[in-house]
Amino acid sequence: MCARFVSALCLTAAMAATPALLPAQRQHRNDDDETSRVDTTVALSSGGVVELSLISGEIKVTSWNRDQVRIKASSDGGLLQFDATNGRVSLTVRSDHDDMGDTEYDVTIPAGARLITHSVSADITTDGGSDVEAHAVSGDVSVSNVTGRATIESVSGSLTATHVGHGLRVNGVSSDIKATDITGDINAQSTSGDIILGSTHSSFVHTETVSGDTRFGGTLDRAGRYDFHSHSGDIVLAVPAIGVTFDISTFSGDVQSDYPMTLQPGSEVGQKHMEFSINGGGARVTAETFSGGVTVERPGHSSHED
Amino acid sequence: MTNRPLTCEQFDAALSDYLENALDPAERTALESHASTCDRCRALLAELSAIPTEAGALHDLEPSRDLWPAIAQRIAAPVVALPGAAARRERRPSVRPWYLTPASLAAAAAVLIAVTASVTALAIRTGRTSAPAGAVAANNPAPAAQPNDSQIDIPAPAPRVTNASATRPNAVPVQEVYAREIAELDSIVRDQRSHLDTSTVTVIEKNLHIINQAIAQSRAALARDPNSGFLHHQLNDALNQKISLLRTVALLPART
Repeated sequence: MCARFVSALCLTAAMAATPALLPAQRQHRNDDDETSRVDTTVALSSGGVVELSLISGEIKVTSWNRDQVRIKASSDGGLLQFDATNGRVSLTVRSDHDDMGDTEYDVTIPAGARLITHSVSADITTDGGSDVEAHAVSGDVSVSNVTGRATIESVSGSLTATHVGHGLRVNGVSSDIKATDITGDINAQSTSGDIILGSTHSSFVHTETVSGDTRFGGTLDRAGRYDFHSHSGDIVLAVPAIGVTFDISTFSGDVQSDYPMTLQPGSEVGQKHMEFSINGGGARVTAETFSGGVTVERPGHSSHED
Repeated sequence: MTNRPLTCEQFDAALSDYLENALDPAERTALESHASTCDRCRALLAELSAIPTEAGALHDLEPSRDLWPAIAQRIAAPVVALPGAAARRERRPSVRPWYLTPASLAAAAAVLIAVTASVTALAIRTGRTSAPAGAVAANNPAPAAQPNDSQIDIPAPAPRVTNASATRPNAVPVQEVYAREIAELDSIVRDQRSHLDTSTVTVIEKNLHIINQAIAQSRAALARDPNSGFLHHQLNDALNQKISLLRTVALLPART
């Protein structure tokens, strides 16, 4: 195994040195040489894809300004399967028995690469990449510094996104969701987890929970649309004093606002539904809960800080 | 609406109700009177009135489950036992990642087919009838299929009679569509559960319980206020959450 692995690395190194001559050919494939350890660097064309998957352990991804992928990986009891072409690098792990132990990936990708990761219980942490997908079941997922779009999912692990450039989609079940410094459309959903959106710069935000609380604190686009839905969770909206039109509905919860409620002509006023505007209206903010409360507050004036 | 001649703006505002047959006779007469004297509104009325007729002339489209065999065949193709292949697989298994196993792909495809087919059917039928979802649901107080009461727990929707949907025999109850989709997904999830980690199953069951409570609370509130659009919306949100969760579970890889 070891001799074959060294041969594979030599082959990899030789082919990585001449990627321009072999643009579409396979650089490395070790499924004939399954191993418990990989330590190599391969070339990846601009816009290439890096795909990583494992069961348990940890995936850590960082980025650099080279058209290369650096991979350090080890597995306690599983066999790593590494495959690299000029446009795609993939690493996965398999085992012939149930208990393969933990697997660790420490990968550095080109800043412009697309990254796709899958895990079951492993935590996923990524820093960089153009478009990033990270899917886990019970593992925590944290992505940061994504220049394009990020999609992150977990059933029960926490979900965190920081500094995403062109949109974020987050799905959890019991997962708490925290997103900070996000530009572009935001779509966040969790059944029982809380959703916290801070320092966002989006013209479209949509959140849904059943029992989780929601907290939004970001800039508003006067032409933007912001929808927050929950069944029994509270919704707290820290919104700046620009033109905003609110449409708030709750069946049995309370509504509180730091801003005076200036009613629109034809607005409904009642226990369950109210529409009001501040500074002449503009950005449309909708908040609906069945039994949760809705609070509209000025940024920095929170009585609901975590 | 008053007995005075309508303006074009008033005509526009009332047109939707006119087409839904929801105006009283005096209002209908006023609207038709305006249309008879206004070229713009007459043309608009003629154009919109023709849509149901033209749509009704379209062939009914039924989502086909016959797609499945071809998809299953394509998914299964890489693992069909070929001469000599078995021994090679013993030595070198497929490089397909664990999360793209035939079982998970089959489950995913089944879910997508099931949901897409029903959503398509719903879109076609509700598009043809042009009736609001709540009104359509309201005229079918007894959903035909509730295959899994323990998980679905969907009582009859609250009655809400409108002229628009009372005469439409092809209207599909939205609640029935939800019930069918949830039942299909739930059967997949039941099969899937034995392959999942117990802690994952616990999380899923806890959250399904939360959603079922939300559904029950929305229904109880609707029973007291059956005309509330907000409550219909809340109920549909909760049902969508349930479908979303079941889809998530159906697509989980084994051993999780």
